Amino acid sequence: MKAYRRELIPLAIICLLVAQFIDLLGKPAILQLFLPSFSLLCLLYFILYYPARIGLGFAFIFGLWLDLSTQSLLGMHALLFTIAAFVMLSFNQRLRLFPIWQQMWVILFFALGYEIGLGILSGASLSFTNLLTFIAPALITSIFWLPLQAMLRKLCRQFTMST
Amino acid sequence: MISLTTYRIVTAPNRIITKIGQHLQTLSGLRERNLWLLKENYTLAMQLQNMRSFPQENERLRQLLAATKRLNGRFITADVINVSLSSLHQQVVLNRGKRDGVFIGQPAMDAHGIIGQVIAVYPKHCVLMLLSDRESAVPVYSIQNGVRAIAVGKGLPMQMELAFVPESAALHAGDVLVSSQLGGRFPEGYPVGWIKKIRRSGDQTFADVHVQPIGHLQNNAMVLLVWPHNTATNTPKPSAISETKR
Repeated sequence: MKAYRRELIPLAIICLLVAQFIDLLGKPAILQLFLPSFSLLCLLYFILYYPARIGLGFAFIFGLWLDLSTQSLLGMHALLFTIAAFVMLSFNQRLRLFPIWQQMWVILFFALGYEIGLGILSGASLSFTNLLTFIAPALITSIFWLPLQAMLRKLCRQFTMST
Repeated sequence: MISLTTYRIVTAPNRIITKIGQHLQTLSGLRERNLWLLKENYTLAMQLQNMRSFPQENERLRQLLAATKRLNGRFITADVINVSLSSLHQQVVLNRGKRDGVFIGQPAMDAHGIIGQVIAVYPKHCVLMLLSDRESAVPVYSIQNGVRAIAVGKGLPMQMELAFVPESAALHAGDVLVSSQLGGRFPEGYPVGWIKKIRRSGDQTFADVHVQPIGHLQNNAMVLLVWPHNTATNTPKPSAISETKR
């Protein structure tokens, strides 16, 4: 149990930083519309499976770091991640028992809320013409939950349980 | 500071791959490229000979018309730092900042035309809002018949439209739009885009005019930051600030 406590937080920090760097990587503009938010997915994974260690404070600090490093409105990601973490913490006992396809539906709602929240906070208007910019990344994010969840689960088990 | 360090870490693999690629170029490839550049240089030098007389002729004609004198501003080149800030905004990060004299509202161009304006300046880098951003607006006129309009971004890559153009306006598909300098932010007469499609429904007040930007907004590795008024540290006029919808 000691090993679990010691190693999970550094692992979560490394995973979240890698996810953030993947999000930040320069991509062709058209591809940008169809890529998931790896930071959100990674954070949701850790809150869902390790709620005792990764919680609201962690989500808030990670959001703040994202705001600082991407020069977005200060507190924008922090607020959205804290809300997402709160909702996830409220339902995590139930969500953990869901089959993976059902979890994907829940992640879709999280991602949609996140994209719309980002849009509203960064001053983008919600209109029919830019509906694609909100829905497409949310859909792709929920699809990416499937491989990411499997990958992170394997990684976390290897690093936290084997020792 | 934090953001620039993050960007450098994120773009490091890309930079390393590019550098390795540059080192691995073959001699024959370099010779071919050199020959091509030499030919291009000769062609451009020949074209320049024809154009040498144009400034004087243009100046004389402008004097005849009593028009204002157009200034040749100074410019610097800036590299695009290859990071994606947000899918909701059409913005790029450049490696020039306050220490290079960059200011908010500074126009940016590429070899083809205007591509955007600077919206945030930091000591060593700045953020450039592309013309296709939802918050971007550029006063333009058609070089075919002088009809004035405002070209606004649609928030999607390489897409703009003309706002509040009456259905009766004499605009046609294929018309080239250049910047009009109204508002004092963008220099006059530089290409902004061309009209791709006009839809006149007959029962609407305004026509639906789709514009394709001329500048290569997305795949630029290098852009030019220009000082339209020939001064290195001028700040935008208050009237110019209202030019963006922000």
